[in-house]
Amino acid sequence: MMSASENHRYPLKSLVADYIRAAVGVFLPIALMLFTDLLPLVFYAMAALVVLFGIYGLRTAWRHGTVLAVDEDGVRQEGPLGGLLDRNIAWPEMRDFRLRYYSTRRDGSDGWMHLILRDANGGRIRLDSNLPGFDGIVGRAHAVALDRGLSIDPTSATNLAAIGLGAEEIQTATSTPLDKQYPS
Amino acid sequence: MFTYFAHRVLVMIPTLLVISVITFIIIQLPPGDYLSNQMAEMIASGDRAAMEKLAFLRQEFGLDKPMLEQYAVWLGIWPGNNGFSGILQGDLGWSFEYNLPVDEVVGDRLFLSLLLNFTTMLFVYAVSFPIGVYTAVRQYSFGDHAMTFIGYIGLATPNFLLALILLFLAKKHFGVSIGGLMDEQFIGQDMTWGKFVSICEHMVVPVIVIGTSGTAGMIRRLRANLLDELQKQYVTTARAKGLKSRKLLLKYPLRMALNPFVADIGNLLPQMISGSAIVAVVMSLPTSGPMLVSALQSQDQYLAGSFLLFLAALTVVGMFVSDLALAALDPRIRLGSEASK
Repeated sequence: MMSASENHRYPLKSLVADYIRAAVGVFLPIALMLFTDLLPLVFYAMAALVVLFGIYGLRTAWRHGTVLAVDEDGVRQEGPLGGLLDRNIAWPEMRDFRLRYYSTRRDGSDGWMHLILRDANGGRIRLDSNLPGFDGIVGRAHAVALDRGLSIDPTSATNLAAIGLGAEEIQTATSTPLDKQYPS
Repeated sequence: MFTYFAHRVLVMIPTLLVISVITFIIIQLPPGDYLSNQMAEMIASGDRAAMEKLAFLRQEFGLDKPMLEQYAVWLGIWPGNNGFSGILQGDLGWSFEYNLPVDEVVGDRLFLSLLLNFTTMLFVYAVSFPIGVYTAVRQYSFGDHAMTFIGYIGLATPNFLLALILLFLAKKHFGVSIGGLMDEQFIGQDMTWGKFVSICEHMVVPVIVIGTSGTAGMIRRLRANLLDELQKQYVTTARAKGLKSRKLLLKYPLRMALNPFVADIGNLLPQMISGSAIVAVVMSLPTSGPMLVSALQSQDQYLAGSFLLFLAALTVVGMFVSDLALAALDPRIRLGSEASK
């Protein structure tokens, strides 16, 4: 059972691969752009890669400096920019719960999960399974979603089942109001 | 989704590199090369200067260098005799058979191949989607049986046979030749509105021929997937609670049933490209297929390599689009995969 308040950080070990990806994605195209005379189309494609992986690197650095606090009131994401881009979702205001799974492998293995929470004010918190305690946070958010009668889409339900949650879905499927199960 | 996009791009780049290496190795695998084959013929005919000429040409085209260096020069990441001048610089190399730069030999064949395959793909999806949904929703109706029958015929008929039949029927009953991808007066001309219209007119039959089997397969898959979804418990529950059929269909079952439909984009492209090569020979289409076959037979390595790389890149891009669409549509953990890292 989770304590009253818990802080979670992405450990450097779980972000090293992302930093390497960002570095490769930025420096390899830059090397090609600097040292070879590229076709304009290829040059622009390389520039797009630099931008893409530059953003990816910044996001990784932001995740590195982020602290996620979970307590009885809700979940807070405190970034490294001194309050800028910080987010907060109070459990009673949570309106959307989504659990996504991504993998770049053909067999779907070795992937990662994203938990996306939204509140009624348009606030949004996204965290991934690299975060220690991810399963516990998912479980807590899922319990809140069930209490509030929120719709759990089939994709999230399947992903929940994969981490040992979501059996209650079957039980609550017939008791959840129709407009909440199938929001327009 | 952004993270997935970045990861997927990063997977695609080494994939393309590996494909380019394999392509280069494959076109180098047969013993000798185009020049040595030509020189063997010259020596046999008594040309004494052939050996010296061979050595000069091999040096000129860099064929005397190690394979790894030839590959790097061809790709454009290593300077050759003319500095950096490879694929990345837009220089596709030299066609020994035609004695011209590859891009001049290829002309608009690559563009026409792309256009033909892309249009075929649109055709496949535009036709199979409504029919697939209709046959699933109206299971065992007259329309379902009729479409199923047509679908089986489409699946069972080889493309080249359909092409021959249509060629024959068009010539016999309408007196028109449907070979080629444009009227003769437009061949080799710059793109104009008239040429574009001519291409569109000529493309109708090849698109139907190449797309028929794919369309039939897609209809069967979408129908089967949608029927599976429509029989699930959540659909029954929603029906029992009075949700309107259309809203119910569009909200989840159709979305779920679309997964294999979307995932097939990646498989459809290589199938269409290999299928269109045979159809192109039968219908005299100026696409990449017939020229690729000829270049492989004559060991015209840079011409063959450019075509193979283009077709492989097209397939990799198709898989990329398919994976992105699938991840956006249904990012669900699949059977046999791990829950988290």
